[in-house]
Amino acid sequence: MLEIPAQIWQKTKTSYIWRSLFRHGYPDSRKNQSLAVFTNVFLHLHPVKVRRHALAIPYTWCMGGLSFFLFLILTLTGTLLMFYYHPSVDGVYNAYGDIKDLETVVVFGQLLRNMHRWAAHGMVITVFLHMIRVFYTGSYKPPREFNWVIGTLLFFFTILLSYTGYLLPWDQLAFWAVTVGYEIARASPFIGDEFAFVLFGGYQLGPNALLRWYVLHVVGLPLTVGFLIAIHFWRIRKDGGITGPL
Amino acid sequence: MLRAKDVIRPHTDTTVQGLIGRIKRRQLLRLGFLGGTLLAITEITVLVVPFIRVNKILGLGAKIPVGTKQSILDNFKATNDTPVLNLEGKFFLIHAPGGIIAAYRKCTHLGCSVPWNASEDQFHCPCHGSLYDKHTAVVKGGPAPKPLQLFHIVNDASGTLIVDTNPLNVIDRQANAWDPKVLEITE
Repeated sequence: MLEIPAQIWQKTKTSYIWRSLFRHGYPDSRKNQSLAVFTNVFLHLHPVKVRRHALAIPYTWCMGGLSFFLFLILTLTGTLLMFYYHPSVDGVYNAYGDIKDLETVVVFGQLLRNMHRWAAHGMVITVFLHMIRVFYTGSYKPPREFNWVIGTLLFFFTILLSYTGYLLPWDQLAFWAVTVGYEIARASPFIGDEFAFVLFGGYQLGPNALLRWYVLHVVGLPLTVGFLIAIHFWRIRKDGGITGPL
Repeated sequence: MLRAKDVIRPHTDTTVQGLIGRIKRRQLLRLGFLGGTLLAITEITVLVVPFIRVNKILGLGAKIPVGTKQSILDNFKATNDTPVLNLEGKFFLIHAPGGIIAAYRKCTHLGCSVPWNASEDQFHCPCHGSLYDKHTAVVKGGPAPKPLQLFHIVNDASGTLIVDTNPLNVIDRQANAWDPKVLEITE
């Protein structure tokens, strides 16, 4: 009875395609278990062996992992939202109208928009809590001091992503919140006026500012964050994995 | 035939020719690569910075023609000196004592756009209740610390008044009183 599926399974496992995909046997030996992690692009960042304390939720709160998880959600939902969003202040299709359409017209639009918004709020919180955990467990100390710097940069870019995204609905709340940002940018020493002019593409918040911040929000900042995340994760491995309990 | 030992000079040779001669091929390539990268980064920076700086400004920041002096004064006469709003330029044309001024409609308190209130016959900011005078835009009440800022106006060759709405180049009146010296267009 089970001979036929067993034969198919055997044939598949010895086939040329299967062996080109998986270059190790069934992971029931230490060697094959290691190879299963090493040779998998999705797993190769993980250590082959994890210390028991590194899995303890009370120790890590899993805040770094949750931050990355939310980043993935934001990337996915954000990409989908881009199909319906025009970074334009007036005209038949405009930013404010598109957000309203997402909530009332587009199928699953409200769900996607809310997922994006709540995940964005959540990511700011989890990144902050992650930072607190790293501080209280002393995980910023050598040899992890470089990764602490990368982490602070990631926190900074998370805030920037949140702030640039805040403008995109182009409602009164967004407009005046970012008008405050314009005045803050103008207060930069020496180059304030010029800096604000370039960042917002004009002397006040307008169509140029919306487009510029949209490009920053969907291209510039996520690419930067992705690059920093790669360094951050790689450094965790190279600095000896997650810190031990105090 | 040219041989390597003839080209590469000994390290005891401290002349300029000797130093140049001692740069080995590997170093030359490294220098070339680094130099090329630096050059490319410089070029990209020099290109990108002016590129993202907007040249064509519409609305606030542009030089906006508002008609001849006589037509504006005639309009003031017909409407009992009601200030004329220019929406895209964010300013009011105001009939000041003895001339015309252009007041930037950004409240000097916290930056709201100040509207004209016809029934009160004054400017009344809806955010925190700052009041500005109809003819001079000086503060009549509320939390505003100083009068509305004024844009520069020039009279061009054809007689049209041009308002320069650059908000970084304004007449900033610190004293809360009408000073005829700010007049650029007199009757």
